Amino acid sequence: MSSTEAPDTAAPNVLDSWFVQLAAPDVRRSATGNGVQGIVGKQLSRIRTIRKIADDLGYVETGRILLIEARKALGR
Amino acid sequence: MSPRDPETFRAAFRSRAQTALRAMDIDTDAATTEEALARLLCAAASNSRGPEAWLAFVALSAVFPTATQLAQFRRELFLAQPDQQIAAALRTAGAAPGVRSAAHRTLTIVADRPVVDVGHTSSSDHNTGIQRVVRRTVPLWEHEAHELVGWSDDNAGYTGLDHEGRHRVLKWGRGNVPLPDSAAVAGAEVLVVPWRTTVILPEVAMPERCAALACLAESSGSRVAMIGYDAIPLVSADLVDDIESERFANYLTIVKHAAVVSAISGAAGDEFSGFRNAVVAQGLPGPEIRTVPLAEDLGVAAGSHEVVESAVPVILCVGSHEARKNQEAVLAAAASLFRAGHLFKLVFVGGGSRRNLLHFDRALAKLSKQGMRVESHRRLGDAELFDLYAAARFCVFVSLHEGYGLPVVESLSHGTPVLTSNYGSLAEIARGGGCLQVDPRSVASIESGMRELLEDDDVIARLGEEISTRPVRTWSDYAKELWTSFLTAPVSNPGSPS
Repeated sequence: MSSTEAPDTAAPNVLDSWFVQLAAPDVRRSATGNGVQGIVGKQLSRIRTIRKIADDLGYVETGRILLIEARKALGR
Repeated sequence: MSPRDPETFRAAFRSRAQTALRAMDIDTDAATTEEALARLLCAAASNSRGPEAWLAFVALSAVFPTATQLAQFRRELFLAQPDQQIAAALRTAGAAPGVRSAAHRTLTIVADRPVVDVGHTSSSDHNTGIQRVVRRTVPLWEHEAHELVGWSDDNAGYTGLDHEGRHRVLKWGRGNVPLPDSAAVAGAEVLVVPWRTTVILPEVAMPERCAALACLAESSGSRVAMIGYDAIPLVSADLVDDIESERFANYLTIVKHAAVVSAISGAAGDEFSGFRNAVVAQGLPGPEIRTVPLAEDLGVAAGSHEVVESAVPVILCVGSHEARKNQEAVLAAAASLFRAGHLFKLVFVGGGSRRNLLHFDRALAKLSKQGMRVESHRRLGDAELFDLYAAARFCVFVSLHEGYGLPVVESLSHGTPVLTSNYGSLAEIARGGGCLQVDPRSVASIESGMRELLEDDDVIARLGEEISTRPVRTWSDYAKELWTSFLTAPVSNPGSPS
């Protein structure tokens, strides 16, 4: 097959579904109150405390990375 | 930030696909979004090891893939029937971590000039060894065509630099620049994608970016050229925190697939050559290792700083507090000299973690109580540090392992002799003159060297004379040689431009 052929005519539904899926709210973000969101908030608070300790010990970069990674993991 | 709706993502994806197709010289005229994706996937599947799959992955996901992700993408395309390729691609590249936050981005391709990754220096106010090298070197490439890039906030891939980022790299020290606004960085909506060009890594990559950079070096069709600072975290793993060794092992996955490593000293070059020889066992050629020694001109004219008068000779010891810097051996040698009746003031400059400083601080306090003149400064500005260099009778830098040894060169720039280690990169610098070499693993040897420099004015005068006749290697020399070294290396990676 040459690279300029376009064989996949049945694809729009698959692709459309993907775009819809990308735009759907992240379930980790949609929880409210004391559910997932509350737990996430507490975890972030603890991580900020750890970051401050890391900063105080001179591990500034480590603390920064920790917070970024934690935010990603928690969907924030 | 663009709205999160399917049509926005469709438009962004269509733009990315067309940009990638144009880069691959594939016709995009009148292609629907689906047709454009199908053409991309055909190109990706047509060459089992070619860089087209890497670019197709980036176009589909707006994320630079890791080697594992790209291998899975290739396998799925290999197995899929033509009418199932899109579904296969969406199961792999389309489901990669980070796709949701990157889906609104478009691409710009850089194929006609080198891409220079200054992701850390452009977003950080740290200004220790590596950042200083970047800030002294990269501005000197202003007459060479290149594209400066940083990383998107989610580490999806390269983005252009904002005003603050450029200022941090190109105009460091010329006025204050605020810390990066994370919202502004997150809003960087265009990924910069190197394509069949050279990607220059003047920094040591951050851990979270190593996997994507290793894949880029291996599979993107661009050759990677990097500065090799040292392999201390592996070669001297016994002297650093475990986490540093683990990070460095990840970093070496980039080195493994790089085209060229320009080491900052002969000793650093030896370390990277050793690693290059090791990857032969994996069937890889490894990078070409070249030595381009760092500049010695630190932009500080000898005598330009205030000489602080001291009643007794000042011995200066500069460096962060960690085991390999060997400050405790210096302290022990000084204690012995003090007990023998020598008069001097010993000044340490450098920070460190609480754990590393605990024992040192106790030993220092004890000696101070006994009457020895000894100080330890954790943080000093450049001006205060330079005043100390100018005031010192000599400096002691007897590190057990260095990629280069900036404090030695700083001291020599101030006309101040140095007591340093008799092997590795420090011995390389010492050979140029102005230094007395000792065995850093022997406190007796360090003590003997310190005694000689304290007692013998003739030796100090001779070393001072040697300093004044040292050939000056400027940052301009370094930047020029480095650029040449990066861009003239032979192409050896699979899929690299011919």
